[in-house]
Amino acid sequence: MNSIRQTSQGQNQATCAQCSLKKFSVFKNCSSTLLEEVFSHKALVNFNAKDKLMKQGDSFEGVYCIQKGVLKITKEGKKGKEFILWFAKPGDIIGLDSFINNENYSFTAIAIEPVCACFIPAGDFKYLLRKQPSITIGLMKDLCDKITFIEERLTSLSRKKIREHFAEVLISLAVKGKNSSDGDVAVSYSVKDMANILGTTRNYLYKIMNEFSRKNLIGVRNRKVVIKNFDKLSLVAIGDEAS
Amino acid sequence: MKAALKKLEIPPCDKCENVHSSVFCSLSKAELGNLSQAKSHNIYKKGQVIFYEGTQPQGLYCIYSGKVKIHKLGNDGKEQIVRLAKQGSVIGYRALLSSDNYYATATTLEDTHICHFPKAAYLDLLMNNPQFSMKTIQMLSSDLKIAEHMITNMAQKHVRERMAEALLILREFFGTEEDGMTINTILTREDIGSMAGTTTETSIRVLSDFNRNKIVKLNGKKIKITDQKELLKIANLNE
Repeated sequence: MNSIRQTSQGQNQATCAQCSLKKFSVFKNCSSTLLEEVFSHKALVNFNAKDKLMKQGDSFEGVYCIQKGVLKITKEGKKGKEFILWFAKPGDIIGLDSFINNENYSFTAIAIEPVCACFIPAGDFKYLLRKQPSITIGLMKDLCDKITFIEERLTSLSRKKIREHFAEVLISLAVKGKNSSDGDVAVSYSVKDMANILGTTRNYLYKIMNEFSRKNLIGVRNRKVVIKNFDKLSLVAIGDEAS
Repeated sequence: MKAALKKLEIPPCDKCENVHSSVFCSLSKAELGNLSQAKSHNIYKKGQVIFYEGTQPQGLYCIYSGKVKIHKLGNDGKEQIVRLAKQGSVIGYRALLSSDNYYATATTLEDTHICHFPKAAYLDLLMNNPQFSMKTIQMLSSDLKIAEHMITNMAQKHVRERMAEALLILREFFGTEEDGMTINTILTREDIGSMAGTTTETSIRVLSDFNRNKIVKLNGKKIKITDQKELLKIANLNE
């Protein structure tokens, strides 16, 4: 991980006191001077899109405080398939739960656009916790929100309609492939395989594919599914499609 | 309470046999004494609801004996079990922490004795005992891990795999009868299905399929795991 961590000392001027995101983060109740003192080893790190900030199973080194850019937080499931748990945005702090449980990173964080983040080593964070125990309330809130979010998704996912599920599978396959998300993305999986993944029949899947292609979300070319409208398809996947 | 239910003498918190395995283990004797003063206790029959999703929390529930399922209502009115809780665990604390309404419903799976602590007593402890709040955070993050694990499974595993895993989780959670193979519970097929995130019909179908392949033996509501190796293989647990 150290190999991709390029510290840009030049930009390291931004202190926690000046950080505009402070009031949204879990540190909002900490005084700036305290943060300055405690986070003496923090470093501003830049990542390119598709860089991994941390990998599931790596030993815990510290948390990242996102300054700029969006990341996807994924978990590796069965046979290395990735599953996106949530998206981290500026002001979010990632790696907190690994810190609390004192264990290896429980997820992989991948930048989906250029990301700028402050790295706070584990030691500094521990020190802060000792100095200002009241921060635990903020941590709790953060965890509560995450659990609520995931359980909410869990409930909707388990009852997800096949078409929503299908959209999600298409997206995850497309992102996994080396093609970028702009332009048409071809997914080279047979309909039979995809029906298997979804636990449905081929006939039903054809029906959904027809519907999607009517709406110009996907197309079929050379017996491959091509994603035409990525954004709309992702809306279908999260069940948030404006009908 | 109903006469049919056996009334139990609930000990004060510092004498409670569950205290060492619960979140309250880091509390001093005096703090436990205060808690005992504040608490009240109640008996719930099997199938009774302890709290409903969307209502306002008045306090913290701690299970003295018995078992509880925590479930959420989906958009289409079907339920999804998000967690199971047994003696020594506290439930409903997340709504208290974020001063929000309950996120889920808690229903008893068997006759259950529950202690109830008022909101103020709990929040007071949280503010004044850093060890206790750290413990709470750990509890939260383990809940998060369970939820993350469940959602990954739900998205990527087949129904059969999820059903096999649900059975294994149930066995771990409820324990077994003397023979070491029969799961010590009488959950309905619907409950098992809503743990695995599937319909009652599919739950029944998969279970009888397991039965046919001699992986489990069904005897009424009782489920006996006869071929654990095969079940593990189907569950595809790689952790």
